Amino acid sequence: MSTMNATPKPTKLLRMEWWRWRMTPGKGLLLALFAAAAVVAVIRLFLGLGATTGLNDSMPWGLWKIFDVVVVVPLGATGFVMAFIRYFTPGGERYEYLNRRAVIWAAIMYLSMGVRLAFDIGIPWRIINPIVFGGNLHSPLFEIAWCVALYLIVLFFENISRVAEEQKRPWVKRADHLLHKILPGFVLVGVLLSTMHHSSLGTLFMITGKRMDPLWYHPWLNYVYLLTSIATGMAMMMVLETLTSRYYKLKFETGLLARLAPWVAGILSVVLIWRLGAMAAEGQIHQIFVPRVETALWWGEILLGYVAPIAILFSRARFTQKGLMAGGLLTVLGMIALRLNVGFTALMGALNAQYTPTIPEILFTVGATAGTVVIYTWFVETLPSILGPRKQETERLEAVGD
Amino acid sequence: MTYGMLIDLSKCMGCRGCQVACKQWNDLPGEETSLGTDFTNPQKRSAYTWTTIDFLTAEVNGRTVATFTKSGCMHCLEPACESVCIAGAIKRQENGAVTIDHDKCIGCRYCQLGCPFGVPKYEYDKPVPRMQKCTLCYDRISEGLEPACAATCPSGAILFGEREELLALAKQRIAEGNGRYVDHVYGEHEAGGTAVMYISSVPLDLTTLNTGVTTESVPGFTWKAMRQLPALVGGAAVLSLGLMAYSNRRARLEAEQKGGGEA
Ligand code: SF4
Ligand code: SF4
Repeated sequence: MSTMNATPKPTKLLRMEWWRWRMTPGKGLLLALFAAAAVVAVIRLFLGLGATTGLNDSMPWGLWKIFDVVVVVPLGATGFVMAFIRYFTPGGERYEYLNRRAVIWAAIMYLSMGVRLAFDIGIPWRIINPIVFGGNLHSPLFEIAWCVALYLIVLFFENISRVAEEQKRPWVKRADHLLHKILPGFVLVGVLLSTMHHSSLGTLFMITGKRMDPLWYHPWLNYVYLLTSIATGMAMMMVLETLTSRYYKLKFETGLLARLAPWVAGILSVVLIWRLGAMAAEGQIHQIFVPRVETALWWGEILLGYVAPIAILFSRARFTQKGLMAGGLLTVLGMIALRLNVGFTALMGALNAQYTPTIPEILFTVGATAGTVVIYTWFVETLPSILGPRKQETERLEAVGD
Repeated sequence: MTYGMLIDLSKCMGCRGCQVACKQWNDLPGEETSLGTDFTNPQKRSAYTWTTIDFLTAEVNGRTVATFTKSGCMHCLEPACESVCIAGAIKRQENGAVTIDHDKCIGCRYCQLGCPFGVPKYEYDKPVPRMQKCTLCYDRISEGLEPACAATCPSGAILFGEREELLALAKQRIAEGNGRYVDHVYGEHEAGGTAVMYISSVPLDLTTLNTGVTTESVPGFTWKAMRQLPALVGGAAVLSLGLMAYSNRRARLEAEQKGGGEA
């Protein structure tokens, strides 16, 4: 636009290089899985859900809903939790670069979830119909659809500065400056939308009421999901930082992350006590000693996903990278275990369902997840200001090892 | 006005006329079936079989009893399927029929998860599937006809009419039956009340009716959480803005202190 009257600007003003991404054997492997998932997706499109998945009338929601939506969304909770810390808490500026990683990761997770969900629903091209043509305000799923769609817009504005920082054009600088002024507003909207859809992901399962296995029945499953999502937002950051700092030879922000650790452990403690309390209030606490397969799964979830990370993240181990990595990873795994236990163990009991995911079904989930990791590396390498302040204009980012 | 059906299981003789009439009227394709432990055939309802006669054989006090239960959508007064449908594709019509609009349905299959009776069935075998279930013959009853199953039933086991009248009739039959019937109108309170109701002369757990079903209105299970969203969002907003104000103030004070010290 500004080139209309002036002489055409020399292209070197654009410091953006679009292809800085480097292929490595590790990324190649992930890409191969991603490609396999794409093949499954195409087959599913032509042959339908019955031919590709283990879904049937007894079990309407399988891996593609329970993992690719209900688990993937909280994996992206980094975005709203870290942005909240960065913009609203005292001394939040120190979290600037952690937040940059958090919001790009969140954007990738949410977009990936949207695409995966499209293949899960019966008629993929109708995925945005409920938003375009209106839907049903009473449906928690409709609420999630709206929140996620709007939150994607927020994530766009939270990330676009990384692209702007690669450019020298004055109007880009001005626009970016303006954006920074109003960004807290976007962050606020993002936080509000997130509290809504993270809790609604739990609301989804409340429709089964007490048909749900007593080990996972909770009168306020929505808040259990919201709280574990918040904990996961910080815990996933610990995991993401461990991997990112190792892979790109960055400093691991032990101090900053250690400050989050007691909050993660605190939230997990509250959830654990509330879950046990709710079971006791229902008169079902004895269930944790009834010898069943479900009981073993429950104990596994509670010990590895709550007790262990609470112990690690409250202890002095939180001041070490290993401690943060272990505590973070266990928290994330505990979140996943809760989602899978509610979505499969408890739900299949409630519906008296038969379901075994097929190989293509699993391949799709694994491959799509592998794809998100590759896409993350693509963004990090293409937009190096995600990792830290830019020193030189044309420095090349070295991806080292796998 | 809410129409409904009263199914008097004591009059059913298991002829499966209703099952056939349903297929015929709704143009549903036949399915390849196999025989199970009893005579229910097909063994399960599906997107292509909306109602079945469920045969159940049991030993009671040394006697073998065989019962027949007509299965299908209960046309709930407050349908869970309608309340969870993301697209607003499921509607409880004014005449009481709960129907699915195939042009709106996106295939999220939440209705299958929500229905306490496991009624909606999906065409998983098709690339462009539809969610299917009994429509209470919405097309027929809108024109003043009975549903196909009720019209066919030779023994008068399926009665169609206004729900209120049918409920009164059910209670009258129970009262005048001198103990012939179990004193329970299934559907009066089940899932918050349904338009399709049953009376039976054998204990209900000898039928295939879902006796464990809640009597609460199922949409309330999720609504109790949904209705708190405004408060939740308000709380999160107050927390965020309050914390931001506090952080800004602290930053300003710190800057002033530093500035003051240097001056
Ligand atoms: S029985 Fe199930 S499908 Fe029929 S109206 Fe009730 S909730 Fe909907
Ligand atoms: S599958 Fe169709 S009818 Fe059922 S809840 Fe989803 S959109 Fe509604």
